[in-house]
Amino acid sequence: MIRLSPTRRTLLAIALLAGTALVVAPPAIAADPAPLVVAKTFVAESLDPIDGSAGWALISHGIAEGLFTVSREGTVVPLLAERAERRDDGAWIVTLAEGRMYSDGTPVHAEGVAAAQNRTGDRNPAARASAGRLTFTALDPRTLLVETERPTPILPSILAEWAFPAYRQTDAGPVFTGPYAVASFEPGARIALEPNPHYPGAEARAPIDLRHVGDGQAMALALASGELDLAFNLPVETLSMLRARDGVTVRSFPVAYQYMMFMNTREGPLADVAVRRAIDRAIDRTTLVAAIRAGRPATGAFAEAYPFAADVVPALDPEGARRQLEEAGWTLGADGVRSKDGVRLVLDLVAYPQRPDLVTLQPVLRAALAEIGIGATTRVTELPNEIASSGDFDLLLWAQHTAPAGDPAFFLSLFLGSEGARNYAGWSSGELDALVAALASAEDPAERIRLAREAQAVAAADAPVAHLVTPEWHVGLSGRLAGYEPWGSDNYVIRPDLLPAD
Amino acid sequence: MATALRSGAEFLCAWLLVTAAAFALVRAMPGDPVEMLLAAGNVAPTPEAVAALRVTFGLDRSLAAQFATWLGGFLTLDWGVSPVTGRPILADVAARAPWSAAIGAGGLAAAVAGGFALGFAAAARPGGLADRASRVLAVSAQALPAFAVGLVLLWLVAVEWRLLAPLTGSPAERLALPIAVVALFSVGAVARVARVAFAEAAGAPYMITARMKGLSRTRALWRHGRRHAALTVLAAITPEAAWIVGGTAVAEIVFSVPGLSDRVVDAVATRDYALLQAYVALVAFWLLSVHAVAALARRRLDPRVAA
Amino acid sequence: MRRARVALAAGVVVAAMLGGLAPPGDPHAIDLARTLAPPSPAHPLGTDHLGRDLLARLAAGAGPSLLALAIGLSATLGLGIAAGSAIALGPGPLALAVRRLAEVALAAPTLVVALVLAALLGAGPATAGLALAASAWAPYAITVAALLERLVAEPYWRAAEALGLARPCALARHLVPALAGPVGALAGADAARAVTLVAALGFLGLAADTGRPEWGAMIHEYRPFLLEAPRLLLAPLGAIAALALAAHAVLDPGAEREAGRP
Repeated sequence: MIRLSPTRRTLLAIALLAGTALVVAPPAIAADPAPLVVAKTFVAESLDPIDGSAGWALISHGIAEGLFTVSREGTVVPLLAERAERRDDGAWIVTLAEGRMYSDGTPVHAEGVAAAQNRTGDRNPAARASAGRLTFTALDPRTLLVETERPTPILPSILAEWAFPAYRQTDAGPVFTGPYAVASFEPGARIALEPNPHYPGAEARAPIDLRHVGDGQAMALALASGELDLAFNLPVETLSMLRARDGVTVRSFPVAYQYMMFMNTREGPLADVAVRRAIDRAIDRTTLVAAIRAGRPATGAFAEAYPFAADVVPALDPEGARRQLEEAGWTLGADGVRSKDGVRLVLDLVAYPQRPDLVTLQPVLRAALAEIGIGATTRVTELPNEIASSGDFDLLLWAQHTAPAGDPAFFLSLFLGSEGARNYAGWSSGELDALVAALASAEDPAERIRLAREAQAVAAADAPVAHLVTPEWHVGLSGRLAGYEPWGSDNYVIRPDLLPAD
Repeated sequence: MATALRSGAEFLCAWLLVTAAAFALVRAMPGDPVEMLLAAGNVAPTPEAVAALRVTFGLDRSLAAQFATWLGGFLTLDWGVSPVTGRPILADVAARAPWSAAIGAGGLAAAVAGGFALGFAAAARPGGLADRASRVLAVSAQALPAFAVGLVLLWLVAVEWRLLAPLTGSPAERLALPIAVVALFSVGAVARVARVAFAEAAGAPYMITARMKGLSRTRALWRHGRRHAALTVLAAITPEAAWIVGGTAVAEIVFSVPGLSDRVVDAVATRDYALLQAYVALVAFWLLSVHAVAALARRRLDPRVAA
Repeated sequence: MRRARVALAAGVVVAAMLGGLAPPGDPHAIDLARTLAPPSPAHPLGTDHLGRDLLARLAAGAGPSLLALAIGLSATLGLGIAAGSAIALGPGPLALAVRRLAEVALAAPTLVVALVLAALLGAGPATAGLALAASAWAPYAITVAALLERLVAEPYWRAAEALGLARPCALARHLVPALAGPVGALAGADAARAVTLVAALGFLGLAADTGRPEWGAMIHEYRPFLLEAPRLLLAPLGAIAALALAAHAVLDPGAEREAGRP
């Protein structure tokens, strides 16, 4: 293989450009000796947590930290905080950990944290989603009083959401506490990171050159050509090519973005619970996994890693499904499609291209439905949120992180509760609502797990949603990062333990 | 002087028309940016929340009023803030536009230069290698998708031959492949246009005179045909420039260049009107400029071309 | 040479229609035990990532792809010729207005037009055809106008008018044949763009429905397999290339004749 020096490569490139006199050279960033080159499909567009989902990107990039976080095991653990206790009046007292510093060397104290959190709460609606506006007051340099607009027994979980990174507002912008600090920033395109000198273990870390690569194939090629040390994340179709190359390691890991299918219970054939149950039983989850070539059959609303995961998905039983439809009066016609009272059992199956796996699953599900005499027309929409909230579908394929902050109530109340803001199935169950209400006030972890599992079982019995697959994502690594273990979906990609082998 | 004034006025009118049409069209797309924004933050789109954000972004006013505000802001370089990213549009565009401009202008220049030369070679030897090559290029440009060609090029140049570092290299290294792909998809069309023009010149009476003066066919063709060919290519340049805008978008995504089009595709998905509007205004400005410069050049080259 | 091309064109169209009417298998039949299988007697072009027969999908996709081509071409030509005639033959103010409109349309960014149209109408063959027409009619209008202006100045046109031949009749007799060559050449170079535009839209995030196979959508669907199983991409690409060649041959026969000119 030909290896040209950078100068010669540049000369060659200039020669290639010779005919194009109009090139405007964009500003270049001075490169550090040996930074780790990390490619992601999304790079922060803003460094200010008040902007949209900037907080998520900042935490994922290893720049910012919250007061709490979700561990590899899926539990909520303190990070910048040391502990949190609920007072009798429903307010919370959060005690900060000792000796933490921002990347500019200033110590973290309660007053600064309160000012920043109140600023985010005022300006970013995402910070008001779970318990309304949170009001932070510094009681002493290490103690915060947190009052919530709506009472919550799980403030640590809420504070582990990405909307609450801790920061210090300066004239040059926000300064954070994560293992890396921003050296230079091109919004949405590139961030040069240097180890935060005030974070333990800084000397073992290398600078990071974080790049946006939008196309998965291009990312795989950049990894194969040796330009990348970490590629997050790779399309499954590129893995065989990458595995055949020396010096490239590919790791697959389960993520908490569950694939599911909402069934529109408001009207039509799917208002009939027998049809919904039959569909749920007719789907072979292992076939779905084979079609997308990665992942595990879903067992409930949550990935198996979570302590509150349940085993509620019915066993594959197409024969039973056919019988159930027959008994409910849906009789098979000559064309292989069932009907009842003149209504043909043909359903509108919708997916969206932002998650390509869902589009791949569409024809497989259509085949599974055809097996039990249900016809399906497939449709791809670019606007999943609109379709979902308008109810303009029969079956809607959906990818959702069901416990972004380690709290099962997130999915159960938001997506399955009668009054849930994203109750896409239009389903209503007093039993489930009661369980969700109990969950909202339960504080004992074991009790919360029990309630979450019972709620999943109640939902499974009525099947407003079919849980399909817990997908896996794939990360490519160069020799320098061969020891990196991915976990936590895309919430924690650059972590304190991202250390180069050299 | 009067001509220049009139051209300027026409230029301005055309630009206003395109931006106004885009303003209305973009807002006619299904999908409410405010509700999308709330959904992205897992916030329920309650009527109050939606209404509040609408007021914040000025989306509650009439279309005409919104356009007037936008136009005033655009002309005074106050391009507003993107509701989606929370960043000032001007800063975003200023950081990204140089990359897109380099790919677009570089690709156009390379296509015109290469296409002109290829067209000349094709006309000099009809049915020869250059003639066939230009035909193959012209047909494959419409049959092959740019992303596939780009990925194959990336595979060969960066992975197999390791000639360039298209992601982490110098700006020149990063631009070489996108420019090549953009140019590749236009060079055939330009070459065909140039070839036809050279062939027309080859049949003109002055060519026979030139041949009788003892010039070789090739030299005579170059000496007497190039002005006519240049005029013809200039006339065909604006549609080519319009295609290149689309090609640049695909090239930016395939080669991970942090240009404008990459953001525009996101902006369509998130209904980021503010960014889309700035993009359309800039692209219209660039295309009208190409058109105007080409027209000016034609007038310079050929006094018979009317204003 | 020319006859060979026309034969090729006819062959493509006939094969496409036959494929649409009598598909060589079920394009939707999934067989996850035989994914990405190489060509075999049972599957002449092999199978795709879901074990579906590639040839059957190609055949089923022919109809929608030809539809995209037909819509794109007829809309572009119709708009272009109508606008061009208005510029050259219409009354002064109308001519000026249409000419300015065409010049403005030249400056409309294709990408945004296509993305917006796809968002409005849904990505699919018809949308792609319309998107192509929306951005491509202007150069046709300007070319047609230029040709017509030159023709109207010719003696035979004035003679025809002097003879009292009705305008539409004279138009048909003299102008249509004169227009066919140059406009055909333009159209021949643009025709297949309508089909690939579907793939380009998909690449930019607007996927077409995979439930109805179509060549452009297939390119997009099989895009991830460029390196793993290039066969999947080469099949629709080959079909589109044949279509492009065929369109070129039928619409631009002059190219061949001209090439042989001294």
